Amino acid sequence: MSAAESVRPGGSLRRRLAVTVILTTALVVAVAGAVAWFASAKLRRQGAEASMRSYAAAVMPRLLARQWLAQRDGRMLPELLPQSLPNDTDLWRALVTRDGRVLAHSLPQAPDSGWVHALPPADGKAVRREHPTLGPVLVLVEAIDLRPLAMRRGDGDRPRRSETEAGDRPARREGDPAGRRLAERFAARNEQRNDALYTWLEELDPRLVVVYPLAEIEAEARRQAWVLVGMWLLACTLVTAVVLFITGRVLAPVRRMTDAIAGITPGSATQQVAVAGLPSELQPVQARLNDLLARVDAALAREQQTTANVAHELRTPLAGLRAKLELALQKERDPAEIAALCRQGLGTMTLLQGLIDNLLLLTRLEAGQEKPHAQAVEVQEILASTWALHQPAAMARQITLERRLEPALSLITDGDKLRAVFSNLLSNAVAYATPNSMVQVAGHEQGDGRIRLTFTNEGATISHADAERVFEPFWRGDNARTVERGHCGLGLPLVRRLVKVLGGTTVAVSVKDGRFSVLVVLPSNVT
Amino acid sequence: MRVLVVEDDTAIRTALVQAFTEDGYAVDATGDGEEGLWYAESNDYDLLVLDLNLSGLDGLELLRRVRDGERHPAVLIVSARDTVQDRVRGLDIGADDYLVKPFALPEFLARARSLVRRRHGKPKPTLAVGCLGLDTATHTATCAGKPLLLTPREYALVEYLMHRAGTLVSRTELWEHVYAFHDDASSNVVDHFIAKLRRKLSDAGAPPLIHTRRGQGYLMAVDPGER
Repeated sequence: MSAAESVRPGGSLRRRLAVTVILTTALVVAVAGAVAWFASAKLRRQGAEASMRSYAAAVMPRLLARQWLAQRDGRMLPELLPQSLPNDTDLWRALVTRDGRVLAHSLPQAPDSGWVHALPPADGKAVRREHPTLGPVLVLVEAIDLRPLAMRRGDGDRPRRSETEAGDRPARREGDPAGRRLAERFAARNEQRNDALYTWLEELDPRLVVVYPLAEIEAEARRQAWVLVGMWLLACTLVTAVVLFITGRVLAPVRRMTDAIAGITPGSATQQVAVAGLPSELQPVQARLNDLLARVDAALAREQQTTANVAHELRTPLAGLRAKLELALQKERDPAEIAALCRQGLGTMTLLQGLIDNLLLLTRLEAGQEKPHAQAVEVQEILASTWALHQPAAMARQITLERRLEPALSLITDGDKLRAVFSNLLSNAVAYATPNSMVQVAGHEQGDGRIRLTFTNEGATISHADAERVFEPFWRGDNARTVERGHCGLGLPLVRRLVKVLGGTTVAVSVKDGRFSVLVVLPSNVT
Repeated sequence: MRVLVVEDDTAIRTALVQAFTEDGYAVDATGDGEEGLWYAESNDYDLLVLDLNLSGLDGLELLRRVRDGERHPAVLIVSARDTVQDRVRGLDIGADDYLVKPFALPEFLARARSLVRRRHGKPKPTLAVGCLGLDTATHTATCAGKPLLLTPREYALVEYLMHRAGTLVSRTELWEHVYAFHDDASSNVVDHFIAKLRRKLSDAGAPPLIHTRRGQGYLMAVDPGER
């Protein structure tokens, strides 16, 4: 799975920003509006309830007083009550009995008995009801308190009467016995009448019904709700527009940068992103991107150089091979001549094969496909066996080997790879050393579990500054090709990568007097 | 014709030297740039075959210096560098042709012949002086329509003289263009080969075409008096 597939797209930043801001604003404004609306509705209702209650409280004693007066006048209460309903408020109200009779009312028309029967209990709580003509109303039902009547009738009079029996009455009785009897009879008859009236009233259980029409209030509330909804919609639209405008402006540099990046292709003239007027948050992005582009560019250039080098290095022996074969076939030749040309061709072929093998090894090493196979290895033995391979070439140039190895220098590492390292270094040293000179191999324990090996030859023509470049594939100090000696600029790069697999490091040291040294530091134990 | 091959790959160099020699060219060869420059500056080559990756001196630098110098050989670059920029750069510095490795040997030799012809201002592949005809492509000579058998060395002499027909060619110049640096021969050898050539021509029934200007050299012409 490629990196591109594993990274899911995160959606549009602008859309996410806009949606978040708009939704949040919409929600906040909606909640605030709803709270305001409910609070206002509650206040109105409370105001209505308060006016109903205060009216009820104010009218109640007056109602009773009238009743009282009416009773004292000896007229029947049912006739009196409707008249006694004071016309002192805009509120609609009614006096109804427990059994649903309407004693008096100030409604536009008498409420039907169904509605009266469905009235809430007389518990002093205002309740919303539907009225057939008034529509929604708030209804407050209060029982008319008959206790003051009871006080006057019984509990209030009787102690006074017993007081009279104890003090006044004997005095009166003594003074006017006939009058006293008459008064007593009258009082008794009066009391009787009062009792009957009270009982009747109690059975009647008159209630004051106060009705507050809500139609207007509710219409007002609805109007307010619509205003709020309108304001909410307006706010949402405004916020959307502002957010889109702002995000558009904020993200414009990103878009410009995207365009600038899109303009960069491997072949384009400019390989850097340069967007003018970038906000400071995006400047590091641009800088990092340019760093990355520069690195990619460099890597690409190296890659192209390597490919060109590989092509070049392969073409050269191929050209030689082809020329030899064509020469052999160009005309009639005697067998000895053809054999000579074939032998030369085969020699070129062998070089080509070595080159391809080295290239493949280099590729495998760079891809990390080579792993060390640890074994106990004697440095002395490795040096002896690899030097034997290069001794003929060395002898031809009168080059001798100077060994300066610590005795019994051994390590646990991959013997084959170490052999390849030695072979490449010795071959390199022999090929580039001045004729009739000495190649020196030194080795000792560093004391930190590492072994330090130094390969030195004379006749170096490269500068100290270029010393590290010997590890670049196909790099040659003086552009000299020594392919015929098996050197095409892959030996030291291979050494570096092999040593890395063995857990070590390589350093090339070019000393001024023409001595060229490669320093290899290896761990004593690769595992 | 005299050719210098500056090519650091031994296999290619030896193959080119052999191919040129077998075609009758006098060939000098080296794998080192400095040495190549020395050769090119000290001899009058008809053709310089130049590789670009050289030890000592880079091929392009060598070419630049040759073009700045007195001598003007035709230059054929043979290189494994195959990009358009490489070819353009090589040609712009002064090469006459650019051949990418690996190349076909017959094509290489044909290009070499073509460059030599153009260098002498004779773009036609066949040369003729009087009844003597020469096909530079097939390296064959005819006299009055009949084939004339020549050794490679004789052919080289005739070819050079015919390229320079109508002009006086000094013995040294002739010697320089027919013998390579390492050929162990003095310029007296030229007189010997001229004598042999004259005999072959008169045997074939041709009128005298090679005229001697004592102390100056040779002149190939139908009528020597015209000059």
